[in-house]
Amino acid sequence: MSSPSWRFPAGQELRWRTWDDEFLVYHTNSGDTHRLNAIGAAVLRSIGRGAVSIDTLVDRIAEELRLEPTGALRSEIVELLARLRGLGLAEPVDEPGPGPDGARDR
Amino acid sequence: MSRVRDLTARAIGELLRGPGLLLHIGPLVARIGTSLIELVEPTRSLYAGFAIADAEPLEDFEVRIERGTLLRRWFAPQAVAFVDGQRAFAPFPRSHCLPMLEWAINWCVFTRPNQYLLLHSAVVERGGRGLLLPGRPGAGKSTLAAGLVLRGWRLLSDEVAMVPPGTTQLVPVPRPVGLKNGSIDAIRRFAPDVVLGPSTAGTRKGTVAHMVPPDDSVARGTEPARPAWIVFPRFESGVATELRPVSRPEAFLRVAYQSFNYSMLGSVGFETLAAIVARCACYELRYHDLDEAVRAIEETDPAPSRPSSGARSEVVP
Repeated sequence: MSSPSWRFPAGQELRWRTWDDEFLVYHTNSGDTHRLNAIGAAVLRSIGRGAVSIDTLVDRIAEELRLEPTGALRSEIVELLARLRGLGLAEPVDEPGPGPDGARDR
Repeated sequence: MSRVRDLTARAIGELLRGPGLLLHIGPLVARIGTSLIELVEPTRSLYAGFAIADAEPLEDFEVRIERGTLLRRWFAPQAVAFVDGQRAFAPFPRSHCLPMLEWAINWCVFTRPNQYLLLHSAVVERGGRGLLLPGRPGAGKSTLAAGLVLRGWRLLSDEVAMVPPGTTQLVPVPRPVGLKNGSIDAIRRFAPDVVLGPSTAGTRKGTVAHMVPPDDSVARGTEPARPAWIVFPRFESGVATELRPVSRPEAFLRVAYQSFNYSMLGSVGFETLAAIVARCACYELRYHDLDEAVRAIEETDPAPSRPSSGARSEVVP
């Protein structure tokens, strides 16, 4: 089974502040401010560069943060993507984007 | 420029009953009025050092405290607060008129000047370096601010930090410092010569009194400060004094949570608060003993570690 892909939703803007290994992200579209750890920030940055499969995400983040690409890391990334989706900061690639009026096709 | 103390009690009473007393409070101009004679002397003493504004075409807000309905003039008399001519808040016992005046002014300062980022924080300053004391009601920020002021720190505010967006300036808005319940006696023990206004018992916050702000703090009401510390006070009965570092992201979120208008200012609010936090050494202070708490702060080197890095804006098309 192929690994699903995720991306950063179009038309969204983020502002970042980084202090040591902690990150604050301001989501301009919603006005929400989020605190991320290194893995969360790496995931968000990675999907912001373009759609990426979970398998690739795991490998990329393991390399970037010098972690072992374990099942636990994968589970953490999958859970994180679900939370980011709930916040409007991530979407599965097979999910249609917003129409011209901003409405999503259902 | 004349100050409140330059006027006689009679003159102040006439102004309060009539057009109102126009005061400079930091960058704001407040018009205060009342027909309650018992407010004349407390107003005169609490605002003694405040400059009287010339007749301005626009003040920032007007607060008036007036008698309640005729029915309640003789039995459990009440008073009513008006803000900008509109009745505000539920009627309250007339005996609570002084704290209600201060709370009504607080409400105006917290909600009106949205040209600033407004943080729920006391602010004091020494040697050009500002200390923010953010916290919810009851955290002990006003008590700690009062203690520091009584040890020579300049008072910028006991309730609100005002920051022009895009800057890291802390703009003063000095006012009488509100003290509640046990903190009134704590301040009296800390500084037996402290000048306090009258105590009012039985309010919704318990017993309330106000410390007169030092003349120097009021006179320097147009002089901003640069932030160097953020200290989150946590008053807890019986605890040992403990000052522990707080990470900047944690400090940011705690301050933002306590802000009156962070969400209203959008990304400008985010960038402004981030710049403030980047300049500050951040701590949480648990305390019971005010002497020890003041000493713990005064012995802290506010020099922060390297400022924030990696700030960037990303736009995803």
